[in-house]
Formats: sequence, structure tokens, C-alpha cells
Amino acid sequence: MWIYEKKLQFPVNIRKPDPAMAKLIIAQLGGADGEMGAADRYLNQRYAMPYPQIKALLTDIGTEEINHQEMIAAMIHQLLRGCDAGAIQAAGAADYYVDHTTGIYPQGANGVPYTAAYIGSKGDPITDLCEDMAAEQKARTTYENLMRLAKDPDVMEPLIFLRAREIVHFQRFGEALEIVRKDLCCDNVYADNPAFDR
Amino acid sequence: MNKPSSLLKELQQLDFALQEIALFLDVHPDNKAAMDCYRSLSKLRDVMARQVIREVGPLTLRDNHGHCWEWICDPWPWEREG
Repeated sequence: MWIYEKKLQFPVNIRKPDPAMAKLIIAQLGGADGEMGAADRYLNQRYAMPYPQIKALLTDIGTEEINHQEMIAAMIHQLLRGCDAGAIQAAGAADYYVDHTTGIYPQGANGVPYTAAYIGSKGDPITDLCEDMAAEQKARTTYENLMRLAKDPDVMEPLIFLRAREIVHFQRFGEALEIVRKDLCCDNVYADNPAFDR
Repeated sequence: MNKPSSLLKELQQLDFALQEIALFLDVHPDNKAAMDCYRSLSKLRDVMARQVIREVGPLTLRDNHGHCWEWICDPWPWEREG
């Protein structure tokens, strides 16, 4: 089960509003390679995973991704805080404002709402871990793209942290894949699906 | 309620260290060095968390120890001022 701790995983203190940046950063909330997808992906994959180490890893990284969702939402909230309608319109965020005011709605940078279509959960350990490794790299690239656009150090700091986490998660998933590989038939790793055939 | 941010920041750092070690242990559960590190961090964390709960406020809805329902008090984590 989950319990909420009343603190962010990493501080978010953005002093200067920037609705244009908010519209871009929202990609990491409801976008194809964002934290919401990451959390849903790993937390849903864990049920079919037969290896205890990897059930733990998917649970723990999935939970951390929920923490990251919260950080991104905090960033968007603070980037929109204190703006009036005129400032939002001047920044090119009037379309978001019309539908959501300064509330948080999970969508991509292109305005497309979050969907489970962004995640894979195939019930096969090799498949799922490869999906996870790809997901972490896509998230890393997205953060790097955002870091090239961000000018405000208050915005950069949490982005730097979140990008580094993607790299560590990728590493751990790689190690998990190695655990699976070692358990499988060395002549043919695809001889069976450990999540289904055993 | 005014929350001293430095205590919370120290707890954030400790919890992050624990998170890192936990992810490592998930896929290297037999690593003795990591396990030792986890145990010392865990002890430090328990002390720090108790201090935060005493001096800042409840961390979870399970540790509201006073007579008032402080759990609801502002600011919430996404609102902290820079």
C-alpha cells in the first residue's frame, strides 16, 4: 500500500513565474515519456514479475516516479502562481488556461491528455525490462531538451536532479535484466516466459 | 505554522541516500557493504524523522501526535516559498 509523506523528494522553490516554461515542463507529467507514465508502467508491470528482486525494484522505482510526478506538478504550480490572465496570454499559455485555469492537468507539451497507451506492460520479464530501459532513456532525453530551454536556476536544479535519476534507474533495470538472463536457459533465453510458463 | 526548512532539507537528503541504497540492494541484495551502509543510514533517519515530526509537524497522517489535527496545516510541499 502507499502512504503519503508530506515533503517533496527534492526541493522545488521557483520564485519567478513563467507560464511558457510550465507548458513545456508539463511534458514530464502527462507526456509520452513523463513521470506519470513511468509510475503506471512500473507499478503495473510488477504484478506479473516472477523475481522478488525485480518486484521490489519495480515497486520502489515506480513509487519514486510518483514522487517525481509531484515535483513536476509543484514546478508547474509555481511557474503559474501569481500570474493574471494577461500575463498567461502573453506567454502563449492561454489555451491551457482556458481549459484548466492554473490547475494541474496531466497532458503532454502538445496538449494531448495522458493515456495508458503510453505504457507497456507485457507480462514477460525480458520485454518489460527492455521497455523500462527505453523509457528511462526517453525521459533522460526529454529532461536534457528541457534543460537546454530553461534559463532560471530555480527551474534547472530540480531538472538536473530528475535527469540524473533517469540514468540511475536505467542502470538498475539493466542489472535486473541480467538477473533474468542468468536465470534463463543459456542455450535459448526465449525458451519460455518465466511469468507464464512456470 | 512556520516550518524550519533546514530540518526538512536534512531529512530529504537522508531519505534520498536511503532510496539510492535501497534500489541498489533490490538488485544486489547480498552486498554486505551496501547493507551496512543502509543500516547506519536507517538509524540516522529514524532520529531525524522523529525530530522533524516534533519540531516541524507530522510527516504522514499516522504521526499526528499532538491534540490538534496539524496534518492539514499549510504549507503543503508544492507550495513552499523559495
